Amino acid sequence: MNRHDAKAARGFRREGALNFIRIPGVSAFQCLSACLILLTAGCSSPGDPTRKGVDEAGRIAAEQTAPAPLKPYYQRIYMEGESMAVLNRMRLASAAMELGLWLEAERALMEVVRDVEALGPADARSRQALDDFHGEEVKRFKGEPYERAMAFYLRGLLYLRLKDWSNARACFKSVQFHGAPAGSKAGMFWAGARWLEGWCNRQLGETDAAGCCWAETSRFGMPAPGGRDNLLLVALLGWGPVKVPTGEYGEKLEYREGPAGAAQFSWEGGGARKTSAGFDDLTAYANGRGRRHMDDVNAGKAETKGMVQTAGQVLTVGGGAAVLGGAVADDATVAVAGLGAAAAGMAAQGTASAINAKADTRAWDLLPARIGILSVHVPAGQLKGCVRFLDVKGGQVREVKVEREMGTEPEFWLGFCR
Amino acid sequence: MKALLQFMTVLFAALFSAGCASDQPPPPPQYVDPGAQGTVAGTGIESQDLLAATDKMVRLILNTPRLQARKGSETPVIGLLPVENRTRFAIDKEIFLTRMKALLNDKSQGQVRFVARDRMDAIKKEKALKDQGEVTGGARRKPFGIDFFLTGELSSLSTSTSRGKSEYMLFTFRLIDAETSEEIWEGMHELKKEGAEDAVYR
Repeated sequence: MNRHDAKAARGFRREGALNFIRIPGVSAFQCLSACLILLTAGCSSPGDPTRKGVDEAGRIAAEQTAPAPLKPYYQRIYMEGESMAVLNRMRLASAAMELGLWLEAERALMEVVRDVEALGPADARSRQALDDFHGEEVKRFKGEPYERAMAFYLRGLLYLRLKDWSNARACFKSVQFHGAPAGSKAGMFWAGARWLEGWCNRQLGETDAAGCCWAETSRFGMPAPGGRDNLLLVALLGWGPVKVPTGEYGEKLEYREGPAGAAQFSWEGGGARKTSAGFDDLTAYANGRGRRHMDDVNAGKAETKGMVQTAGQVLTVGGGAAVLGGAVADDATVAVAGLGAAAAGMAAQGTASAINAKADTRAWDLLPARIGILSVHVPAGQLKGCVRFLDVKGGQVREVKVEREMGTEPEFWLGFCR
Repeated sequence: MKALLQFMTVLFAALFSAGCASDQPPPPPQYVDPGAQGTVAGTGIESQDLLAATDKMVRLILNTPRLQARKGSETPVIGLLPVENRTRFAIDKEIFLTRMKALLNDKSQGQVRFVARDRMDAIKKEKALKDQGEVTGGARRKPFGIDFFLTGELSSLSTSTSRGKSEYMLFTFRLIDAETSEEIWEGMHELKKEGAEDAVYR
């Protein structure tokens, strides 16, 4: 060790461990600050308050316990965190149902239903959606009423598969409860869900209650099933509603029909031939829900944004004109005042551009456009038949062969066609 | 001045990093009181409701004079009939009776007996083996008949207004004489829950 090294070593001991980050001309404190900032840079992404639920999804995806087609959905739950967990679980449930992975769908919907039912104050990050500088999408997704209702609808269909009539009925009751926003005067009524509630009532021996349900649904073109009907067919058809931001700043939310697809279906087999009489139209339900509280909040933000922007433009242009006028007239006071006004105007325009009035357009994009329902009577024993999916004009989209062993209890068939 | 600037820089960095505490891994799973309200609370049927209702029902059943009067070989035999769920909440209906049966078996000190009708297939097979002499035992006793059925009904009234959601729930349980259909006991537990949706979800 030469003299220089020895001096350096003494210096290291004397000044402590901070010395190892010493850069010429930069103090240790500054280095430490820079390190802290660099270390925390990874935290600048919009992190979620908790990740306890989504970490489980990450584990499932990583440990290969998820069926291969669903793995991307589990990964997405993990990657996008708690604020998107409900939406990603909704997507997972839809995908699982279409693939016939019923247990996965049940598990996902169970968690969705739990979160949708939760009441009380939202977390601090979600409440930022109420302030001017955050868009509505900052909040933890819980879905609009039609999406919340659909979580119960699909859960009810899964209970029908299991012939768990009372729990299926409970879910169809909840569809009505969640299908309209609190206090809505829209009188939202999901006819298909009420019809299925009636079906459950009949299986439970409550024929009077079943009759009440069907009396209501018959007004919407869904009459009571035949007294001996023992095969219930439900089909999820087409693509669900799309959320479109409208208004000058995207502050308004509109629901438009998704891409055209299958619109109805028919059954042929066991001596029965029937086309689905009625259906639940999700776009109609989404649009008929009335005004949201958040629509008013976003409208207020848009109004503020517009006002601040206009004021900023006026001040900038006026200030600029004053600067020019002051220069021409050789009046420094006017020029300085104009400069101040222009600066304030630009600051106001900057503030206006920071105000975020955008409505939340995240949507459960795997929902169907319609839910078709029909019931028929078929003889006991081995049943062979086919379901034909039809488009709006009645043209055949797809045909599916159905085989069932018909016993004493009614059977249930659930199909999908986009 | 320089020292103050350095101090402020470090303080700012430390404060900035403190905001990242939310991205720390969550604590490991922990045991919580099943009788306490959970962190995700709605107006539905939760564990604390189940505990309160079943504890109350068991106390009432054990104080039923018609059951207390029967002793020894007359100790009543109770069978379970599925609970009817009329609420808008999908639940495991059997969980009420499962807990009540466990509590009654534990607390009644022989005041009531239960029969495992849900295990009759296994019981019949075992009896057949005994009767055939393939296994020991076999006193050729018949399975007990049921004196009383224990069953219940879960009902609810749901209200949704602009101010929030409200749920009234009524849980009723009955003991029905299996011979006469007489209801020798009925108890109820009612509760009402109200909650408001946060403005961001309205």
